[in-house]
Amino acid sequence: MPRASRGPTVTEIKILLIGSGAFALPAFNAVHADPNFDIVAVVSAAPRAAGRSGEPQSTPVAEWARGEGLDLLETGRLRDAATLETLMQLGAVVGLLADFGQIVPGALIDALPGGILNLHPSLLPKFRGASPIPATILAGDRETGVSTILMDVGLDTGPLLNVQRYALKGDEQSPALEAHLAELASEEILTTIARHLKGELNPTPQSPDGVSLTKRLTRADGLIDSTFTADDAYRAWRAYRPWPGVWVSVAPALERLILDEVGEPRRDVQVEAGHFVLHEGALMLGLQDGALPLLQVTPTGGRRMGGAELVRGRPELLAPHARISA
Amino acid sequence: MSVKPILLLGDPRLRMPGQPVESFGKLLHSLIEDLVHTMRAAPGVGLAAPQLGEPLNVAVVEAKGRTYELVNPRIVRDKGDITDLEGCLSIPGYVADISRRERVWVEAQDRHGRQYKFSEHGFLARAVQHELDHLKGKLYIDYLDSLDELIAVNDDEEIDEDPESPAAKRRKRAARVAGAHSH
Repeated sequence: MPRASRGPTVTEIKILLIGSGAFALPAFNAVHADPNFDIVAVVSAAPRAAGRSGEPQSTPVAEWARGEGLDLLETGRLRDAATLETLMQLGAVVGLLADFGQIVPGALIDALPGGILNLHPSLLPKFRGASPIPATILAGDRETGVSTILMDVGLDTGPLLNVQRYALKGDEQSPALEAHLAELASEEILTTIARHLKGELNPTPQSPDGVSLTKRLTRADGLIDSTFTADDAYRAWRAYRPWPGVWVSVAPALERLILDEVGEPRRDVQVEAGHFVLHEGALMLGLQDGALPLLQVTPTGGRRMGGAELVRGRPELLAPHARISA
Repeated sequence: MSVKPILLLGDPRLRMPGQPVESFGKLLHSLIEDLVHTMRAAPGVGLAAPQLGEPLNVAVVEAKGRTYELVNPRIVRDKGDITDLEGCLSIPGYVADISRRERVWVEAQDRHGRQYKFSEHGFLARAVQHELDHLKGKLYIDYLDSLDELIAVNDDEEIDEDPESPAAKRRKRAARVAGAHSH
């Protein structure tokens, strides 16, 4: 068989990639593009039913791995003995984990000589856990960043190998902030791994002060009631995009009204907290200390529409007795 | 930018190695535009500057929704072997089974001179290797032991043979992929 000539060879670092969400992709891509790394496998969460169809959907990382022709292991249970055995036999010297969402057994961490590096989008020990980016926006912080830690068996408790800081303007929404932090992470991850493997980095224990933990978000977290200030509601809307989204309940008329697009709070519009008003043709929701313009909304069982269109179909929302839950 | 004629086998300019690109200005940009438009019009999945008679280290590859502008490209690492049919826009009407690396790691510059790296596998890796050969004045037929290994893919040609014969099956498979596999 005719053969084309061979290229030069490179010393390779065998690496195991572990991740599910899109936050992992820029860093994983950087590793993938670099000839000094050999990706022995990509581990990702098993496909889950999603969307209206309920069809099982692969994670963004699984999609990526398939597209790049990498060995992919989709699992809902990394603890499974057979799965662990398989992974440990791949000969990886180090692991890189980002946005995975499952507990990693200590046995796997111990099996890799260089351990597992974890990219976490907050300035640890602040905002450990599942939803650091929404928590950052909700808190109104002026600064966030990406922490690269050496995993231990705790939840985001391992020592720090690298900290990258990112200044916040105060108008960020979760998807864009996640993308910025993911890019930031990808810029230094290759250097961090290489230096860590050479023993040039001193893993620094996380400070015992300022620890906070974030939890997995549910639809219930997005409920806005009439005790919110307009600023808090606006911040929640920026934080909870695209999931879980923010919504109000106008029972019994409307079980749930999802606020898809809102505008900046208006202090010049006078409306009692909890009530709706049409102001210059735009629908506003009165909250403590201001009104929130409702640009695009989705009522229970309905389609997404403009705020003004909603009240044309349901004028009762403007009646004096109609108000959102307190 | 326009669709340019593609040089055919026999033209000595196909055998001239490409020169390194040092200037990343308008001339380079219009060459890349010409390569992309000519490749798409052919249609093909890749085209190298020497195929338009420009002896420069510039090529484009486009498949599976990805477009690579390859200026001064280098394969810095490869892995695995895979054999598949391959065609060339400079050798129309033929394909041949060629063994290439299954995965390649590439360092290249874009039209602005910015360095970038990527890794590709399978079909796109094959296309990249094919184009980089063009930049060395090399064609896929150079890997063949004999030109008998070439498979004709001219569909309007009447061939009198048993449709179940291995040769006929090979020809059928070749005709099916020829359109999509030319570089």
